[in-house]
Amino acid sequence: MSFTITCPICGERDVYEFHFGGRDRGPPPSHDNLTIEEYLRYAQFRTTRTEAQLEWWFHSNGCGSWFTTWRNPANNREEKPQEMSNDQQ
Amino acid sequence: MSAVFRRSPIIFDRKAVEKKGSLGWEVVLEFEGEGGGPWLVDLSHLQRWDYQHMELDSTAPFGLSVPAEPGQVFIQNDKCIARMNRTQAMITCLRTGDSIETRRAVEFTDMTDAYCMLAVVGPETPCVMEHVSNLDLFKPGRKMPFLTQGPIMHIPAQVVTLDAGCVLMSFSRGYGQSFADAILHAASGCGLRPGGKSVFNKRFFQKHE
Repeated sequence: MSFTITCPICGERDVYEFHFGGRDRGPPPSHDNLTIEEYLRYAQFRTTRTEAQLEWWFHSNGCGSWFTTWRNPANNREEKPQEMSNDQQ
Repeated sequence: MSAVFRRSPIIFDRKAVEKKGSLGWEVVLEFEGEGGGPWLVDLSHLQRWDYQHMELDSTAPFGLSVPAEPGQVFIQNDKCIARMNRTQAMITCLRTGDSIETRRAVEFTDMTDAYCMLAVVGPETPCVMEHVSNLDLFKPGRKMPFLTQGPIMHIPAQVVTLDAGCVLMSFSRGYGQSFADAILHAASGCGLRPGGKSVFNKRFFQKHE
């Protein structure tokens, strides 16, 4: 398995130069009235998706930067969700 | 008072014909049987700094202009300044023996003793680099010199492509000897062999002076 990731500084590179940082789940929930269940759901639960998602990547063997990029785990291509692509057209 | 003694992480298995002392380093200027190249030159003795500033564009470390884009490299006053990202640049003094006092400002970090630097010199340089990396170090249309940050033989390295016949690689000092042995072995088919600092001087300073 191999595909490419586009680093904002170094450009398109082999995925083996990177470390995966997980799906971008947005900011943590507010601590006001936060229950343990809600916090654990945010911190521990992961969803397996077959559509484009925003992900964190770390260019460990290159420039050492953290960045987010859209990737579809079903085909490992860097692509935005269909609705975002339509909005841009 | 005893003199400072500094040692390169790399020892080539060749007899030195000419040596020179410089800031505590013993620099080999010429090896026996250097031949016609390409050459692998140990430049670990060259002074090098990492420079970090929030507003990098508005600064001038050592009086040097900072490149505007990451990956760009400027050669000024025998110094090479390469921009790594939004806030950091790498500065290398390419001339042996120029003692430059490290600025006490917090933006400077002296990396000379932490890094190993090697140069591949000679017209067969692309052939040598193809044996050890899949990075596009000679991208057509990209203005030389430029910086590439990526793995060489799986070792994170900063590679400055000065021109089609000269590449500088810097990486953590601990990899030095293994790296040199591996690249000499991998590119033996291209005729790669150790070269002294004079080989680099002839190539670089004749072109940039």
